[in-house]
Amino acid sequence: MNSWENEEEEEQHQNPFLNTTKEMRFLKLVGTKTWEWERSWKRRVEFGGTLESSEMVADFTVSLRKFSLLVMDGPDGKVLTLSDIHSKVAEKKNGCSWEYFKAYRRLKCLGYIVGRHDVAWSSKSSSNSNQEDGKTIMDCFKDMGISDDMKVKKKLVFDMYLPDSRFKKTCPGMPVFVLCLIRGSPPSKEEIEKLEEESNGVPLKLCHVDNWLVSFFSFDKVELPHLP
Amino acid sequence: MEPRWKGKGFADIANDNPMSEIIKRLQISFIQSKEPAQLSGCESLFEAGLDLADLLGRTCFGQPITTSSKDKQWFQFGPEETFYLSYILKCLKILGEDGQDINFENLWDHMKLKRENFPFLFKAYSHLRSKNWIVRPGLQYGVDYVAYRHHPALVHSEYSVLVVTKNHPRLKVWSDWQSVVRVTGGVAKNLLVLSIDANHHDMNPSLQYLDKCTIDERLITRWVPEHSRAENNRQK
Repeated sequence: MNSWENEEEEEQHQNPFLNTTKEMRFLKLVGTKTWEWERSWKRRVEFGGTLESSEMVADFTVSLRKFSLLVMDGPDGKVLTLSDIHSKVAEKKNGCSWEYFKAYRRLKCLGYIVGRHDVAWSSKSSSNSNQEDGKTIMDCFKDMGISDDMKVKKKLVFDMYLPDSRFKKTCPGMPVFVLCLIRGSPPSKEEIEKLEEESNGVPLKLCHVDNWLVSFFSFDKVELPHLP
Repeated sequence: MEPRWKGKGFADIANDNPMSEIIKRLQISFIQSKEPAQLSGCESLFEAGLDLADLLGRTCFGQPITTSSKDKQWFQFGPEETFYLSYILKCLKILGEDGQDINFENLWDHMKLKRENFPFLFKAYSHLRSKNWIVRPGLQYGVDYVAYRHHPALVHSEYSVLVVTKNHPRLKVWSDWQSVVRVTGGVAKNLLVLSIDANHHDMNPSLQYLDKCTIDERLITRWVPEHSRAENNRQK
């Protein structure tokens, strides 16, 4: 089975019966950014590359899994654990959730270009670090347009584009589909029709996140042919 | 998903034998035979001569029952088949359990009593059959029906069919979606959901009411972004 089939089909487990050393991967330190978290905490996140703020926030979540070292300091110099970070994101009261990130991460890791639904690309990014200082991490999430009203069970969240090195944010074109995140029970036909109206003719895909499993579905209208 | 023909040349055989024509011959043969079917519960039993038996086999109606008779073949028709042959194709007379002729309305009421959700299952069955798809029971795949574009000996079925109404919602939890879509995909079919636009207050619709209801066809498929990316790379 291909590795991506494994990724999709099964929960991954390290084999505890084999003696293998875990490879540590470190972020190359080339710069720092500072965010405030709940205004009372200060975090210094060390990262590599020249990512724009929205992508940094998303890749921040990727790095939580892929990289074994992510140095985060509190105002008192205390290093935050992954548990501290996870609980802050999972609290949901600040307007974000792991569901969004899991869906985002799955698609971004495969090279898909992921944009916020109904938000122009030109307002998504800002490379001006002065504007980011003092912003809370939740402000960054909100800037991505993925602030999360937990009462909204079915929501169009991402415009999706196929991986393309020629992609231009100034001229993104039509997305290949719009991703709708579904919470709670599966949608009825009427709910899907309403979402389709909101997507303005762009094909819809539904996403449901349950624990580790991120599932995507299409619910396309068809007409079976009248056979001879 | 392209049709999967079971043998070389089978697509041509299907092309040369359009189902609509075979069904017309079936209707004529039924009318000529003048034999009625006997209602038994929600099914019916029918004794066919050899020519009619051959046509029933070609159009995939009923389940043949083996007996010692060499010039007759018994068939058992399911509730939807019984009603379709009688009411839609208008070629089969039905005798009630009392041995007397039974009209459409009484047969309808009888079937509604005997089979849960019969009106909507029949509407979906009739919808597909009227487009000349072969429709067979789908319980073994966790669905209501499976649909073939021609005889099952020639081609694999393309669709697993679920019938949905407001009164009879299905796929109410995510494990339902996952299990039905996975099983369907595992047997190389597409999941077709037929939503019948019936007033949700009417749990006991009449034939005339049901005739006016519309059917919405939707395909539920699982989308695997990894597959889609691999396909996209291959196309480049």
